[in-house]
Amino acid sequence: MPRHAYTIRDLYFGHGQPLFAGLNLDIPQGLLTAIVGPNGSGKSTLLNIMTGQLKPQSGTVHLFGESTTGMSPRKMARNAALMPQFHEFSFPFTVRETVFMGRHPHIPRFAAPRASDFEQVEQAMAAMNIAQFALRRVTELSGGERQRTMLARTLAQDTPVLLLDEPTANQDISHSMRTLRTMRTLVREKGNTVVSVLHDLNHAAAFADHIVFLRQGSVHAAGPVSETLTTQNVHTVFDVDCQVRRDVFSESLAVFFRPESS
Amino acid sequence: MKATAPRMSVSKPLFWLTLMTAVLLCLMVAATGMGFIPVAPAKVLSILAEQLRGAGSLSDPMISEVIFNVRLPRIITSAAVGFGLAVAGTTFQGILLNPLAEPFTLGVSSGAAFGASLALLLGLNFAGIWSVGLCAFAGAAATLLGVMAIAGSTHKLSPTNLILSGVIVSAMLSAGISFMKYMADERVSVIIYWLMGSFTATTWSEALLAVTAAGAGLTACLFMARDMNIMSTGDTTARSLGVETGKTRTALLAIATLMGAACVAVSGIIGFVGLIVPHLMRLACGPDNRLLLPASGLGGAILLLGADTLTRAVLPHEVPVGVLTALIGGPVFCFIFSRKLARS
Repeated sequence: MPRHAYTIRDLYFGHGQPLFAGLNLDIPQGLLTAIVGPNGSGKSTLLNIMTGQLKPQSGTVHLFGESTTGMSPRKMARNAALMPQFHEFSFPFTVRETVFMGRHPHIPRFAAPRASDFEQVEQAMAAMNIAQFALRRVTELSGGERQRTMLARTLAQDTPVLLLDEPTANQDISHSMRTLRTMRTLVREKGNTVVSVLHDLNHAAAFADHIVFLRQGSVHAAGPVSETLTTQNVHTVFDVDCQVRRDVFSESLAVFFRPESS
Repeated sequence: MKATAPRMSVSKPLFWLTLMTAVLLCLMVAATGMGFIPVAPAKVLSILAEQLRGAGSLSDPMISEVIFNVRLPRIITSAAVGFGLAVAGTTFQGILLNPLAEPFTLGVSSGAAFGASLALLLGLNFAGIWSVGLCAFAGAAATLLGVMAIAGSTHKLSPTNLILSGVIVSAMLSAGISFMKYMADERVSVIIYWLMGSFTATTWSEALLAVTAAGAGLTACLFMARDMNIMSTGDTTARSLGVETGKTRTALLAIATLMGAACVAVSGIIGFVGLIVPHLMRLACGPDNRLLLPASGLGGAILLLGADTLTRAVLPHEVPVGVLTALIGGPVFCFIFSRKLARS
C-alpha cells in the first residue's frame, strides 16, 4: 500500500456551476504524477487548491496527513513548492536574485542567508542550465529562459513536494527533456514527490510513474501509467482518435494520433 | 559547488549609501550657509560644534540664531519630507507593481489636499498651527480607507483594483477641491498657496514630525523589503513562497500612506519626488528594495533639499517648492521615459 503525499476528499470548488463537485484523489508519495486533461478541466485550479492558494467550498486536502486548512503559508512553502503557469516580472531582478527568492521560506526574517542557501541556488541554476546568464535581468529573457528560471526558483525552494504547472511550456525539445529528466532525478534520487500538469501525453508516458486524467472537474481515471494510460482513457477524456502502444525506441508507452478523425 | 557570488555584493549597497549620505551631509552644510546672510561652511561647522558642545557663550549669537531657529528646521524638514515622499513612492511602486505609482496614484495626496482645503475654507483652528496639517493627515488616511473599501476585501486587494479605485477617488476629491476653491472667495489664495507646497516658516516641531515619520516609515518598510521583492513576481508565486500577500500589501499601504500624509501635512503638496527618485534609484542601484528604499530616501532628501535651497537662497524670488519640483521633475521624467523607449 503506497503512502500518500496528498489525500483529497469530497472537494467542492467553484461558484455557480462548480468546477469540482466531490472530487477524490490520492497523490502517491515519492513518485512523479502527471495530471492531464483538456483545457478548462481544472488542472491549474487543483494545484492552487493543493498549495492553499485557493480555498475550497467544502472537502478536505491533507498534505502528509496534515490538513492544509489553517497551515501557515510559510509552513506550506517549506513542504510544497508551486511553479505557476504564468509568471510576472514587474521589476528587473537578475536571474540569480530571482532564483534566490526560492530560499525565502527557509530564511528567518532577521537572519542572513547561510552558505547552504547559496549552494542550493547554484545547484538549482546548474540543473536548469541557466548559470551562464545568472546576472542577466529576468525582464530581458526569452519565454523559455524565464520558464527555466522559475523552475530553478522552485528547485531552490528544496521542498519534499513540487507542483509544476506546465513546466515544459515555451521550452525547446532539448530543454524539455532536461526539465523532465530533472523531475525524474528528484523523484528517484532524492525521494521527492513531483506533481506536474503536462499537455504532452508522450512526456507523461515516458517520464511519469502515475497519471491522473481530469475531465469536467472530476477524476476520470488515476493510477500507474502502465495501467491507466490506455487508448480508451485518452479517447474518452480528449475525444481524439488515437492509439496507445509500447514504443520500441523509447521503451515506454507512446500515444499515436491519427491526423484526420475517422 | 561554489558558494560565493550569489549574494548581493556588500560593497555595492555600501558604496551607494555612503556616497549619498556624504552628498546629503555636504548639501546640508552648504545650504545652512546659504541665504540672506551668507555663512562660510567652515563657520557653519564651528557654530554647529559650539551648539552641540553646549558652549555657554556663543561666538556669534546672531548667526547662531539664524542657523538654529530659521535655517536648520527648514533644511531638516525639507530633507526629511523628500526622504519620506521618496520612500513612500518606492513602496507604492513596489506593492502596486507599477513604476509610475506614487502617493498621488491612490489619491492619498488628493485626500490630504482635500482635508487641508476644507480646514482652510472653514477656518478650522481646533489645534492651533497644526489644524491644517491634522486635517490633511485625516484626509489622506480616510482616502486610503475609501480606496481599499472600493478595491475589495484584503484577499482581492490586487494592484489593478487598487489603482482603479485610486483613480476614481482621486477624481472625486479633485472635483471637491475645485468646488471648495470656487466657494472660498478671498480665501482661495490661501488654499492655492498651501496646495503648491512650501517650507516657509518651518519650525522644529514640524522638523521633528517629518524626521519621525520618515525614520519610522523606512524602518517599517525595510522590515518587509524582502517580501516586497518577492511580491514583484506576482501574488501566486509570492504566496507559494510563504508571503502573506494580502496582509503585507495592506500593512505597506498603510505605512506608505501615513508616511506620505505626514509629509504632505508638513509641507503641502509636493509632486514628482515620489515618482522620479525611486525611478532614478532603480536604474542606479537595481530593484532590490533592501537597498532601493534607503537609497531612494537619500535621493529624495537630496533632491528636495536642493530644490528648496535653490528657491530659498538662489532664485531672486521664492517660488513654492512644489512648483519647482514639478518644473524640474516633468522634463526629467520625459527624458528618462524617452531614453527607456530608445533602449527597448
